[in-house]
Amino acid sequence: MSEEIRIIVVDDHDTFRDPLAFMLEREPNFTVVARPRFLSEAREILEGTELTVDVAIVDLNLPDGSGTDLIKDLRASRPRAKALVLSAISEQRYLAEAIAAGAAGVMHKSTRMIDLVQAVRRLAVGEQLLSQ
Amino acid sequence: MGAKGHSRKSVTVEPPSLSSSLSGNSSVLVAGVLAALVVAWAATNLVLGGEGFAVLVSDKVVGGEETASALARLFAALVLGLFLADAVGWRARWVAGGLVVLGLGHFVFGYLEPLIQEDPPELNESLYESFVTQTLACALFMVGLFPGRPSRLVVWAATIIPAALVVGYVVLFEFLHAEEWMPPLARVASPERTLTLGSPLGWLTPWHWALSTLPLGLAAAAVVGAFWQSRRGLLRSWLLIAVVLLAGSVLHDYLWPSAYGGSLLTTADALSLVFAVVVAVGGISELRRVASERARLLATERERARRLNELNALRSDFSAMIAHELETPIAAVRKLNEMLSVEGEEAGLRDYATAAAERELDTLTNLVRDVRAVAALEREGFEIEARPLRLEKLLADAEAYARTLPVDHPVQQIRQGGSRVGEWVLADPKRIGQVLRNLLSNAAKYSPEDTPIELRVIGKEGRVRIEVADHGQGIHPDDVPRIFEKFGRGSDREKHKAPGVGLGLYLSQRIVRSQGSELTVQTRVGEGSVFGFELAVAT
Repeated sequence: MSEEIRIIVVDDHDTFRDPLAFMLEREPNFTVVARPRFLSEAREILEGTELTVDVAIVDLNLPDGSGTDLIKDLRASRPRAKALVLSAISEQRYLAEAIAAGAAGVMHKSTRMIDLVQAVRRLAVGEQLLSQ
Repeated sequence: MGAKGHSRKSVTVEPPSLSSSLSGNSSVLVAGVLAALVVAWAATNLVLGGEGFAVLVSDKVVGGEETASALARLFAALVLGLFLADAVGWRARWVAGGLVVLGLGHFVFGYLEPLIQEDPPELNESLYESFVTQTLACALFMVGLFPGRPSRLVVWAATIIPAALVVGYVVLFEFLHAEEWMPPLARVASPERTLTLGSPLGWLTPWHWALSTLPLGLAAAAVVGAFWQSRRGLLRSWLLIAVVLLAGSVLHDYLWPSAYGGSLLTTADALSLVFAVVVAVGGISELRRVASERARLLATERERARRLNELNALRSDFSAMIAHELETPIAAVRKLNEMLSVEGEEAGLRDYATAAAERELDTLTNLVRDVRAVAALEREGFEIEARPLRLEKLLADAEAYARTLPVDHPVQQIRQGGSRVGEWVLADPKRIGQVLRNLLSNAAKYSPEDTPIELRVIGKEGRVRIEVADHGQGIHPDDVPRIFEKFGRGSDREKHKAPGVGLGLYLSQRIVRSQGSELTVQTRVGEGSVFGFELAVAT
């Protein structure tokens, strides 16, 4: 059996985040280790604990800040962790900022679970979904 | 008949622009004193036998005086004609015309003619020159300063007759040698000789007194018109002083006429020179005023262009925001649906998913309604049906709505002032409910979970103030002026970090205004915001 993939889902939209986490949890070796709503909450988890994170699924549009800032923090504290942007934002400049901050992949919120799961798996084994 | 009357009425409306901040009572007083001094001076000179009317000066001084007078008048005419006429209307053109005539008179007869002719200027011919130019100039001044709109007859008489006199003068004196057969206006040929003759009553002929009454009368009419316009605040103070000086110059010229280009500097010449200084200074002040007005207009125009660009940018952002707002609940419904498709048998999950999907669909419905409301608002205005409404019901509905918001916030209802339980207010329940829902939704959106939202009710005399206060992030001062604008959800310094398309506060403000109040905000970054409005108590 493959290794456990530890995922953190950061999104303030409960009715999106909870079913997403639920569906991810159903995957055999996926574990959703945290599901913060706010940037501040996610930072507390990343800075205050030794929590291992393989993939962070991050919304850019958070009530108390930008997901891009969180990606920077994640890359600084856990260089091996991959950040996957999952957002309804389609403006190129925000996505470009997220990529510049170290996002390994960008997907739209309407992406089907099957594609999302596949993307998480690829990221977890070290693949980049974006060319640098 | 009626149309004629209406037409006449419409043309008598005065342009406001010849007015000036200095053209009040003080300038009228100064001009009045000046006029009295000029008349007293002329009377004194006359009583003393002409002594003090004129002195001999060198030709160079006279030439310089003529040129300076000409240039100053032409400069003032240029300013009036080119820079002010469009703004101040027809009066400025007439006054400018008068200045042009005076300026050209000095330039042609006082400067060019003595240069071209070898003989010294002959007094009789010079008096005719002075008569025609003064008559035409004073007529133009008189029309420009006429109280009210002059009739067509006055305009024709005041332009055609003096213009005919000018043309007649040129034809008679240049081609028909009129100096040989026209009745002489003076009994001496040399202007300088008049100094030794004393009182003008001895060396001026009755023809002079008869003819010169015309420009003097026109100048007097111009002075009366100038005072009239000044009293009504329609004339610049410098122009009033200038007209008094001009008329003074004509009066002194009437009593002791001077010749263009002669070596005699008369009191008329002195007044004419002061007149030139006044119109030059007036022209400069007008130019400065025009320049500063243009600078202000340019700044206004630049600001307008900047706001337009900003609005265009907001418009393009608006489409992106709408798309984002639509996609977020759609994505949630998709996830819920995917969850149902795999775990639909599990009752708890099924109930959760269907309830959550219902909320998302409500969000979509509300968004579509807001967009539609804005479109309708811009298309056909706003209709409000205000009726007595129980305050408790309004607040209870608002609280119930707050409990359904996605992030948990305890809602506290606080009563202050003299608001009474069971009070009725005058409001459109549907619209005002929309305002409260919007304010509560914003409060929840922009403040951390579990921080309380206060729903305050403050009783005032005959009115009730309702406030929604949060302990959230607050609004940056730069963003406060634009949050009530359409698409105006503040700048993107936080990268649109909270959902919302910037329609809610715009709509809310319109609704509140339509009910006779104003939606206001007090906010402090990091501490929170208080939005509030007032409703009339139903009696």
